[in-house]
Amino acid sequence: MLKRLFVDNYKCLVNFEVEFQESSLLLGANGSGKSSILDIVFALRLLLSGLAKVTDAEVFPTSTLTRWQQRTVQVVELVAQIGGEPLTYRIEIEHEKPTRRARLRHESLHAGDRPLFTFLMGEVQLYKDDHKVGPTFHADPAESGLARVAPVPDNRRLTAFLDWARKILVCGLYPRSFLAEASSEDPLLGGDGRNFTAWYRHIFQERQDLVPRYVEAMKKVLRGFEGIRLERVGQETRAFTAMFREAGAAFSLGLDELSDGQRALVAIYALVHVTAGQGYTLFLDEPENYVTLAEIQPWLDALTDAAGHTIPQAILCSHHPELIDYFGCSRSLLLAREESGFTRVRTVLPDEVTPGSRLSDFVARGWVQ
Amino acid sequence: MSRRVVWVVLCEDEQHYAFARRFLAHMTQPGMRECYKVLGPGHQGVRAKLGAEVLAIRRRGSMAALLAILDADGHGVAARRRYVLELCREEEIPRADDPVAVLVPERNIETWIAWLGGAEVDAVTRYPKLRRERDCEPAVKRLKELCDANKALAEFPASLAAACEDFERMRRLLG
Repeated sequence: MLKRLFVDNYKCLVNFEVEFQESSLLLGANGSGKSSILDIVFALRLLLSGLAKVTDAEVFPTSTLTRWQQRTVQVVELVAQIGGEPLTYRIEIEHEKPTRRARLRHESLHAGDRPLFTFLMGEVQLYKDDHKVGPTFHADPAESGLARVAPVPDNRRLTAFLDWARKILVCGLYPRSFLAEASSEDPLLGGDGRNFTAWYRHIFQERQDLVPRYVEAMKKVLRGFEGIRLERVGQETRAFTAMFREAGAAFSLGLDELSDGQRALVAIYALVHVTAGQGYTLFLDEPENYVTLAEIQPWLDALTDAAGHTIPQAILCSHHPELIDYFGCSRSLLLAREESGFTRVRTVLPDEVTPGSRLSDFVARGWVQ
Repeated sequence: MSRRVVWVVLCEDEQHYAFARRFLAHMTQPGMRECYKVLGPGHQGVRAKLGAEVLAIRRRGSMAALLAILDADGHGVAARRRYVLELCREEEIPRADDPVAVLVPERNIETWIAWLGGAEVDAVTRYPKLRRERDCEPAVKRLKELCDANKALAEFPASLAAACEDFERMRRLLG
């Protein structure tokens, strides 16, 4: 579970710090930094998966430096609760503005103040689980050195951290982009969910036992829904197909034949049910998009039941009144830009809202900001 | 209750909702229930919203029901019920034939949870909050067992017995 995130010199986040619960809603005006938080988490996920260099477009390109700052070093530090202990991961990225090149000048993982891994000036120093000094090696400072470390019996804590980071899903689903067919599996669900079918194939291969529960949940939300088939449509290609029964007649629809709202429901319920028990952390940007009002709360109930139980954590970003009132003051985090331009985060105090009024009404009127 | 009933849970906080939703899941037919949370928040919020919710539920006939939950907080169940109804206009006051229950745990919902967990309880002590709201599940399961076994309500804490009786009245109303 991500407990704390510190960010400096990334877009509008300067000396910014936020603490998360098992489920939290990020609130705030446009441009206050909600999506930037999700972008950072996605960037870390890519970096720690060893799939990207620091300057790649979705990671930390030089364009992500805070525009009104002259400094050229970005810092991201997080504390993740892994297996009951807090682990602190920190990176410092040094940018060269004229050439738009960047390198990791510092990368480290600590348990308390004791190191498990350091990567300084291109030199990786490994430590064993008992913090005894391990081997060193040179690595490319344009990439994460930590992502290069292979699991061995005496680096279980470091490996557990990497496993956690690689199972963070960051999505702002755009159902219209969903591809109905996939020729391979993909363990990483893309930011807009375009590769949903490939991701579902991956999950289905790993955990078929989770599918019945998912199907049962979908039966309650999609009229006439009976099940899902990954239909063979080529040598390697499978198509995500939803099976229905209406007026006694059975029929099937490809993912691309479902309405946008139905696709969104298929995806958001999959995120809750087929990720269960696998350590996935969810960061979801406006998951209620395309979903009708009456469909939001049942899904939120399912999500909050899962968060901290079958899913370690679920962090949502939304402006939607239904989500704002559901999470209420106690689980909402309000982001706001100060006069200085800095983004700050705070919880909403119960006495900021008149008894009997809805928090969303106060947010809508600009009285909670 | 063979129809799909929307149960609106008007509650002070997340613990109330977690308890009520799990209770409904155990006590009503699967697939025949929808829950809808309305957070007060706090007892003032429950009080302010109760009247409008009663009217809304009454219009839905037997397709909807309302559980309003607020803690007695040491004021006593009767006084808390009077307090929560004070802002209601005459037509907003729940009637005996409304599928509406105003449940008042004494002292708090944690009192019920502690008793269902096997502790001796009284109406004065403030019992600890659970680390997570969902941790009330064993207590709710125990309540279901006690209800199924027709355990004498006289052995329940008085406020829980009253709540169970009110819930049974609602179930009869909803058919």
